[in-house]
Amino acid sequence: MTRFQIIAFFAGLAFLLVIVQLIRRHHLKEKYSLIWFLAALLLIVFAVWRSLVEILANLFGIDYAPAVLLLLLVFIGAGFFLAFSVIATKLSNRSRRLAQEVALLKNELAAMEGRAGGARDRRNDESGGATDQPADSS
Amino acid sequence: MKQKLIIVPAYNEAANIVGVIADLREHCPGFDIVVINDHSTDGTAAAALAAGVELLDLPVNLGIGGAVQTGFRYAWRHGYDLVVRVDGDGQHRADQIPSLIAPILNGNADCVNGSRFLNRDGRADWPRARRAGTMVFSVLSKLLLRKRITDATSGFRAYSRRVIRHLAEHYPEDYPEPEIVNRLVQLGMRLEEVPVTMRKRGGGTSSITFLKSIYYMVKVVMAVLINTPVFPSRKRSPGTPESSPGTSTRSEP
Repeated sequence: MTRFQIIAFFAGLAFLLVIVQLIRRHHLKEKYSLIWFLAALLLIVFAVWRSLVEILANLFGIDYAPAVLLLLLVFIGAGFFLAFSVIATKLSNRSRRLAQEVALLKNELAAMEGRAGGARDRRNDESGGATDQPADSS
Repeated sequence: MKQKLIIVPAYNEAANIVGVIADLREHCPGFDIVVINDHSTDGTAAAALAAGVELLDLPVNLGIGGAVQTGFRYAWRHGYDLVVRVDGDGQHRADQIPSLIAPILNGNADCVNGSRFLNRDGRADWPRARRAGTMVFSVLSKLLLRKRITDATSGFRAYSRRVIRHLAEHYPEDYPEPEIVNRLVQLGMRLEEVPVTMRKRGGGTSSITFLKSIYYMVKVVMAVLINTPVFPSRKRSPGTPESSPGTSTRSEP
């Protein structure tokens, strides 16, 4: 092993340990950790099995072998960012809905405290808003 | 008798909200009013409560889209048949609401858009960027929807119960007015425009800066293009006449 391979190997190992530690402390959901585990393992594999880069380069028809690493990095990185954007979208939709629900409930509560009875007779039955899903748009 | 609701999204409009509510009360006595406070920092909520209207007090700032949707969810749950959206800054005139809701009350439309550009006199002195954006969408709507929308960025609109039901569940974010037009037309809702004039803002400042307006223009055009089916004719019954401004078209068989 060259010196750099050793460094890369231990870096990969440290990365793996950090991820395990984050999961144990509940700072990282198991659901999201899987992909990070794979990333760390990939790092270790490339560190140990040096000729893998060249094998891949031959496979893809790339003359300059290290470019394979760069290519992988770009693809994996882009994949990660896309996944996070999807997660962020989902979370923002959920938090928006929760905030709206809080506002509606606060209004409901104020109505109950203020004018107990009366004024609420217009309501749909409870199921009206909650379960009666309008037709999907797309 | 239809239950009519006016929803007033407001973000830091303490200076205007009382005047807006008084204006609405004077010209629209048959309506319930709900103010949606989008987590203002200036006492907008207290002002609205003191004025005696219903208040939906958001715990975080959602932006105009999320705020207005809260109003639609309220309207749907409480069984309203008609919603008018009026901005909290006082630019929409309560005395024009009767003409805005007339097509819905007559059963001729599901969504009525208050357009500043349908009549020449409404064109007045609007910022150039805003007018450019409106024109871009106007051309785009003509091409994609085969229906000219003269003022897609107008927030001054009336909606029927059919639309309330849809928007309570699906509402685009940020500054979503053009996207809504696009979506409603594609869903086969009948859209109509009526001419309105708007006031210049009273107190406070508009939330749309020049750079933002460019960003929203690009975003809206993208959203509209992405959400447009490749074969729009499939959703349209054959022989539907092309529509001109101010006329409503039934787009579904």
